[in-house]
Amino acid sequence: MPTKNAQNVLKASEAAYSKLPKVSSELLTLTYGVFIQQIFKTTYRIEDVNAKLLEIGQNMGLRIVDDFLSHIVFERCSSFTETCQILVGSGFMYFFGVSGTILSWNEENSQCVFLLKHNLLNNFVEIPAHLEGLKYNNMLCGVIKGALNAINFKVKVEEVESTVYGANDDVFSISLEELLHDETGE
Amino acid sequence: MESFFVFNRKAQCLLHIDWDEGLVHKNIDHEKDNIYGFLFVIRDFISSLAPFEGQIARSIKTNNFALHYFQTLTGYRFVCITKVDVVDVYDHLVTLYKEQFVPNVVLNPMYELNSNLDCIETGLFFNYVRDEFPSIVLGKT
Repeated sequence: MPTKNAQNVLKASEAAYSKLPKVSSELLTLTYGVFIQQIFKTTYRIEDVNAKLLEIGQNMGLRIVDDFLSHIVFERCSSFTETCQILVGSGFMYFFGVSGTILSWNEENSQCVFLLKHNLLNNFVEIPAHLEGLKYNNMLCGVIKGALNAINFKVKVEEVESTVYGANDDVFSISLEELLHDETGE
Repeated sequence: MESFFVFNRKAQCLLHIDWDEGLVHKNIDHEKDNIYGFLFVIRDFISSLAPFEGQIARSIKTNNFALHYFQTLTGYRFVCITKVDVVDVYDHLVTLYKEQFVPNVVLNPMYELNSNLDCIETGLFFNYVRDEFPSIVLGKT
């Protein structure tokens, strides 16, 4: 159940999203597809492409978290669960226009599974048989990982199910590995 | 307005500007480390002392100068050292972060994260802080 803070942030991010300049979703979908093709030209192995997408996503996440925090003002989150509620609900709403839904948490509240309906990156996509294993949404996983890293959460984000492989919706999991601390220098 | 610093969460000083030309730094690297360490300790001290969570120090004054400070959730620390009579720089630092730092530095693809802000790629931000920020802060006090 989202906290009151998370609900307020979702409203604020919907309002902020409506004011932002937008591009057509087909442009984003096709650009992303061509982008992945381009990465394949530089590195032929699927594992390397997956790793490269994750790295690019992380670099993006480190930056866009400041964009989100500077535009949406909200109270400090009281727990990792609240942070994930805000990230999945409002973070995706602010940048993507669609909100994710958290499906479940594990017992220790350190791992969640969330669903993203209408993931427009996957429109029109078919993965050929010889490229099975490609994690098409790995850049999104990297963005979440980078964003949480910037606020001192070390997490592992994985694609559990993907519409490009025939699932009904895209499902991801976020697992908290470690809490980081600001460095104190030498 | 005497000095301005920007630190990141890895204790690196990304930017340092001095307006007071008469100010002599004996060992500037040591001074930067001291400022970062002081802010780190003050944050811990206040969180242990405060009656409820979320308390932050906005400014610290001595009889000679005032240190104004804003820290983002992502660990960027904006520090402004001014004369004692200057008040309320916190809101200006927040506005600086939102309107100048995020669009011109963080979202700037030409800027490599955690590198020095005194470069061509972040010229807009650097020039704004050096030329316009003091008059905005001092003009309204």
